[in-house]
Amino acid sequence: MALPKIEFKQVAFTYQPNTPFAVKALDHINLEIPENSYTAIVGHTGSGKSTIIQLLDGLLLPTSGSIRVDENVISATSSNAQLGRIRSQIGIVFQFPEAQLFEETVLKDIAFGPQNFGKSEEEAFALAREAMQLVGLDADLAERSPFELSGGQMRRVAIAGVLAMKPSILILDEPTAGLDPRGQRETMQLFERLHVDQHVTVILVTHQMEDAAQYADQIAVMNGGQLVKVAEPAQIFANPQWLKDNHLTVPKTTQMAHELERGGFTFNPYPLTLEQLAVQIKRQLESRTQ
Amino acid sequence: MHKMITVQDAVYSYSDDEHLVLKNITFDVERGEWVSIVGHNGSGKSTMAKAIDGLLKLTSGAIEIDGTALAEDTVWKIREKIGFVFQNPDNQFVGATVADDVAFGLENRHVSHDEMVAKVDEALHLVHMEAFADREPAGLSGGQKQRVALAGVIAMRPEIVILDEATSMLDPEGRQEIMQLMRELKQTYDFTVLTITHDIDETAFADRILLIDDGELVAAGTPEQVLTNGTDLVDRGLELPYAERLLNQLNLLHIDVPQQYMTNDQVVKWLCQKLNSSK
Repeated sequence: MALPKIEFKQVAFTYQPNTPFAVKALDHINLEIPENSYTAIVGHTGSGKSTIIQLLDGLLLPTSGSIRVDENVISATSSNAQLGRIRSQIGIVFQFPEAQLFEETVLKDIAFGPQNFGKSEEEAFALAREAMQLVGLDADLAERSPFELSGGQMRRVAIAGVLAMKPSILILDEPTAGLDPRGQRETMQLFERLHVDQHVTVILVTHQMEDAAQYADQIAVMNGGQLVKVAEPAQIFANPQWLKDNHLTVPKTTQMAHELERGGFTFNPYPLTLEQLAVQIKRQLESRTQ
Repeated sequence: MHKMITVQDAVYSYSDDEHLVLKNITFDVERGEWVSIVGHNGSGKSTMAKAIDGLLKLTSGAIEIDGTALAEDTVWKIREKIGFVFQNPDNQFVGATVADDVAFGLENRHVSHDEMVAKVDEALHLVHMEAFADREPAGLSGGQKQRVALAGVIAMRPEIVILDEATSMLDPEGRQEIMQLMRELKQTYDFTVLTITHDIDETAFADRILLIDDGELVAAGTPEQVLTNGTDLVDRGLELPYAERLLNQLNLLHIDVPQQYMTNDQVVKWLCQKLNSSK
């Protein structure tokens, strides 16, 4: 079997170690992320999700343990050159990424990343135009100021800026926060397309359990700096009480299925989407009438 | 009935633009009513809220608050009646500590020190944040920050509270907390509440919903009237409530579903009855 794309081995991280203010943010995490997988990392505020993102981008170094990304390893003693090699293949869409737009035109803003990693202006602009197309931005917008665009369009410009660097790993930190339902749906479908068509390995950090249930093939649950469970969505969402104990919101479909079970329905496997729930309800209603 | 907010033919466009952000919007809100204005990003709903608080001036049309016409010479008087909570709490923090921040509005109104301390304590107690009085606002979670913002508003005893996408930056837990809290506070103080949102779940406590799309008021009524297929919520960039979506899906699978609007609990009850009656 091929080696996983990313491997966390006994990773621990403590803020302000060896001081009275020491806070253990990650406690000996072991996690494998296979190539071309879609992994959701969930957990409530302060569970350690953001620390994982910052470690993957080399913004923080682990206090102990190591993270391997392909053949490169991040540990407490990694050099900047080593971190640079890893950064060039990881794209991160931070929360509210449109806050980081700064260039005078959309095209220049998107081309900034590739230029920063050594592409010529011509190459960077070509990559930027390609990225605009990927995120569904009209080519006419290339010469406009990003600040004249709507909130949803600005978010697309910011995402295009990440995609223009052609990352093989895409990390998404609450990518749909603040968008209306249509914007949320379109954004999640865009990432799904990249995952399927371009074989990008996706790591989604989110509070939206519906998105984790619908898109991820594995879900890692964090609580208090520890990785408490890694499993397929159907396993994670089968037990509403366990979700509550780990400060996770229960997806609406899970909640509905759970309430229906109290009234005589049975669900196996537990439905993850509205469509799956409806099919199982229909089957049970019809088997009773026959 | 006492009209708290009256909006008549509101029209708004940015000065150098012919595009109308608000197109002849007319509605009113009774005292003690909870009204939600819903619409997609860029629909004009926040512009409407800001116009009501006099934060921007309508191109044409009129707004009355509690019987007083909103104008340059009345705007300060009117703002005393309105507490406004914005989307991003970081944009409205001014105090070095949580308590200082809540006191800021009172200080501006020259409230005496003793009265101020009492009002700040009370407001922090109401939003369940008294333990954080001496903390720095920057170190709080998003949900805690919005509680502090709400405390700052409550301390002023407004008659109208406007929440302009006040929960959109919070996680689902924080979002529910704020809405529950708002409901408790409304019961205590009988505010008139106006919430601006694109999250249909947030309209759960509303008496009435106004649906705005591209600057036009396209539907107004009770949740039962607005949150149904008839108003094209999905085409307008929003989403139907979960129960309605499930009924639609069952309908697609050729199951006869009731035509009237149902809440989650009602759907569960209806389905379980259907299952057990067919035994």
